[in-house]
Amino acid sequence: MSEREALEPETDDRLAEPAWQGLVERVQSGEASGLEDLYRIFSSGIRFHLYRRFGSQDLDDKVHDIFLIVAQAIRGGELREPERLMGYVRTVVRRQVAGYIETAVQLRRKETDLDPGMPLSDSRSDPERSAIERQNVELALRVLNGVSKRDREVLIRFYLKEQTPLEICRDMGLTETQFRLIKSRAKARFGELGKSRLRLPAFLRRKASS
Amino acid sequence: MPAPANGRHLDGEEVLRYSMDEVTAEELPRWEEHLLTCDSCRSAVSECDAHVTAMRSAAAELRLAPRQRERRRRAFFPVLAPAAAALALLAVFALVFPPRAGRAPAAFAVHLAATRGPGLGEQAPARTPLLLQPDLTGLPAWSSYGLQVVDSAGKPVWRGSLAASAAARGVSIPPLAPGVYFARISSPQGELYREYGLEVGGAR
Repeated sequence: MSEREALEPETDDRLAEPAWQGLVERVQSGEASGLEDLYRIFSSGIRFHLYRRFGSQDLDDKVHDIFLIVAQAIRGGELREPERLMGYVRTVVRRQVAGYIETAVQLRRKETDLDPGMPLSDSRSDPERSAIERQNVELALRVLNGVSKRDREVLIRFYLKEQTPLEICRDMGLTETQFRLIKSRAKARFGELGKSRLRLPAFLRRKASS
Repeated sequence: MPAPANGRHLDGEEVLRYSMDEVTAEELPRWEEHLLTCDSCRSAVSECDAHVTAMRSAAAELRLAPRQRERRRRAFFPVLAPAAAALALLAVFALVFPPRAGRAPAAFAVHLAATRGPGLGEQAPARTPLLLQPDLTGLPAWSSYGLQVVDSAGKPVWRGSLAASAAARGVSIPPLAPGVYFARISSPQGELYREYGLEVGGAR
């Protein structure tokens, strides 16, 4: 098995042990295939984490920044344990997220002609996402209006008030099984109603088309 | 070409917990590393995110409708007499059983407003319940907003909702450890509007 083949999963059940050592060595030696594989393996995951925090604003730039940091760190010999590559990438992502937040806050402090309370991301740049989210809310309203009063109360307590399952079961005299059924039925109904209307988020559409 | 996955896939309950930021400190590194390279789990989390966000917003909208009906009902059925009786009972209770030392401290009010100049923003004592009073001036007129508190790394430490009518009164949140935090105001659908810095306790 070649090293690049070793980076592919064997089956869904048997998860292959990634050949991180070889990948790190190829990146360190400057091989183009090393950087290509590094980007291919991690770019979607990095994009996923950033999208959940910041939406689609400047997403490509942020992903590129993080990839550069990781690649330069590997080439500079900063990754002493190649088998910890995933943990290192995760750490870089978390530090960058904290940095982006801090930068946004400080930028507002310095630009006196702007309202310091401006949001971190401009949702006006992603109207499609806003429209999809509104459609999903309509679906959720149909789900909530279509269940019994008791089930609706359970779902409101869980999703809006963020009570724990234990608290909800105790307050409403439910068993854990009853609670799980109510939740899973609502989720299944949401999925049924949205099958033809739910769309992939922007970052997944990009992945699907690449 | 699919990327290699690391470790066990997240099951349904774990996907939901991750989506709702209810992951323990021990679980978080493993799950985040797994999600860096597992397409199927990322898809599951994204689907769950859409579901949770929609359910939360829909529940907030539904929650307001019964309150509006209740207000109209109260206009026809005054409840002043029972309320006055309850207040009198509380006053008697407070006189007979005065507050003892050692009880939980009163909440510390924090007015969150846009500021200019150096410094992160507001300051608050650590390990004391806080009463956040965000300034909603200039925001779109929703009847309620999302309110989230995150730490300096962006990890959520508290999340709830804020009724516009209750903004002046504030929202109680549990005590925070010393550090830097950010309070985020968003629409019911999760669109981020504002973020306020907050220094707690020993971070000064």
